[in-house]
Amino acid sequence: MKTNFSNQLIDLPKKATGRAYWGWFTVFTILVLFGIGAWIYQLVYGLGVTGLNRPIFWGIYITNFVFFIGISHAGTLISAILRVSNAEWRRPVTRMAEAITVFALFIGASMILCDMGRPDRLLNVFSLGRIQSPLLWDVISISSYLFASIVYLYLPLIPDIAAMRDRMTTRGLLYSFYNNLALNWRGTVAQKTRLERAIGASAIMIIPLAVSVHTVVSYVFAMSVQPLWHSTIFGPYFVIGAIYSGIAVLLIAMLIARKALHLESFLKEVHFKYLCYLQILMFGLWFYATFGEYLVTGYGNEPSEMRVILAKIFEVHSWGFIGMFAVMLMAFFILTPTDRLVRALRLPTMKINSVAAFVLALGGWAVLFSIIYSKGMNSAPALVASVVYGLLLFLVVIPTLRKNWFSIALYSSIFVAMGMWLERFTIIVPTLARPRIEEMIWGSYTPSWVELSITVAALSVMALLFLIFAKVFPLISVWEVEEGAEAIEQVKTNMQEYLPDENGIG
Amino acid sequence: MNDNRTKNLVSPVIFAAFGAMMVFIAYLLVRAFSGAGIFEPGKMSVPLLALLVLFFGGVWCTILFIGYQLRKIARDE
Repeated sequence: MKTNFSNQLIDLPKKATGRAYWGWFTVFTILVLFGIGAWIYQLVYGLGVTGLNRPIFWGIYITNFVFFIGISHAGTLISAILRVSNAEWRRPVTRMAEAITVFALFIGASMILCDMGRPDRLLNVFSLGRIQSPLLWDVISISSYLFASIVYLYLPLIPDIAAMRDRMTTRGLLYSFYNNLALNWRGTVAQKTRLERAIGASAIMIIPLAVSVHTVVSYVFAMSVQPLWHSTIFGPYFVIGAIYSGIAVLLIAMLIARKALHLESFLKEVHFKYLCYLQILMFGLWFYATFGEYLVTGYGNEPSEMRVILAKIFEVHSWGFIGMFAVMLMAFFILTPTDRLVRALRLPTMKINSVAAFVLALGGWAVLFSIIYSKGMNSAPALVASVVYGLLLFLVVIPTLRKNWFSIALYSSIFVAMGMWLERFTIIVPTLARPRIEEMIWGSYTPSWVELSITVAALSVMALLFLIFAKVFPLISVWEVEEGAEAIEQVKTNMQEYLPDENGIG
Repeated sequence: MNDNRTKNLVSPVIFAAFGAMMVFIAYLLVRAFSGAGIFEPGKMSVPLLALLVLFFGGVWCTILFIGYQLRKIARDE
């Protein structure tokens, strides 16, 4: 017997379609088509239409590749960790997390195709591949992760697909789609046991696999001897960044789904609160790794590495490095209870709408940066202005952005996603601009409209896939939420196992 | 409840993917051992290669196990 909320959740895909749905669908489709057009233009005229040059042969395509592969950790890893650790609050969150993983992996992998001047040579990667090369480790680990993530998304979908099949009144194409994917699911004890076993095995498998994927992505850089890439910390540094950005994108997706599909009863404030707690932990780890990376390298004072560090802070690509710290600190201030400090110190605050506060925070900074850099100044004024402007915002705006856990999640996640994209940019480009070999020319890089269009298209594909998924499958795992409602007694029993005995000591 | 039993198409896809990955890794290994470089200092050493093969071999064997469980689910066994 299905509960009332189960029926509502199974019917979610039908409710997904409204005027707003098709409006956004059209907007994203247009953006994707424009991106495809830009890619065709690039295929016809070659990579010369991008901002890539010698020695900067990797730009925002590879930045996007690392960023999207990072986002893919949202899901599977977070969902798997929460599942293995039996965190009961995970139940309405996992489906979206797993879906984001699969979509982000597809887009991340396709970025390599965009970066290739001759995509017709893609098969050479397989036919002429050398397992000694970290690029081949990447091919193996990402393809394994993609396949495993699809399986991991599919397994908990089976009972929900069967429920959707059973509710269908007509026998069309959609019916046979659900019927084939439902694998004759009847919910028998034998089937449930097998499914639990398969989900358990895949959750355990996916954790080291996800860690290996971003470690191997970092090895593409770290196995070379380029300054600031050849670092032992790169593996964990990339994994931390991946989980950090993954949670941010998951939070944004949850907020959109909650608002659009009226999922207020399922995605409650407590879900956002717990994920924000995870964000604070990830900020700490990210800051520690960043601090370790730059302190150790700077203290070593090795000339080729110092050239890159100075280029990051003071030279042409410093907007990425300073921008990264600026938005990451904003995210940290929003995530932590800075509003209490502001109130305790009786500092002045502005009484404005949180959206206006966000626009002010980000827009003001963007204007400030563009004025400073367009005047051809070096980054010193940008650094000073950032600190002054950041403090000003800290005083007047951040308390407004910390209205509740929804607004904290939304604004901090946008800043984190931006910061992590900038981090990947600032890892890739300045090192190539200041190569180790002194005889090589120094370079600078500005992405062209083609690269920017393809980047916007990649983000639009992500949104489009999410919209299509919401139309076909329930965004919340119905049977798991149902099971959670029935598991209250089990949770009580579990708690009694670790609570102290009444007798106490002795 | 619905009584239309269908053929399980998912498990064969998983088994095929497992086979394809194993063939690909075997092909890469043959290329690695038949060419130069694998035993050279600074290149990939045999223990590292073994670790790589064991790790991804383990991952794909788990995927194979899941495919087998799905087969059992489809047959309700």
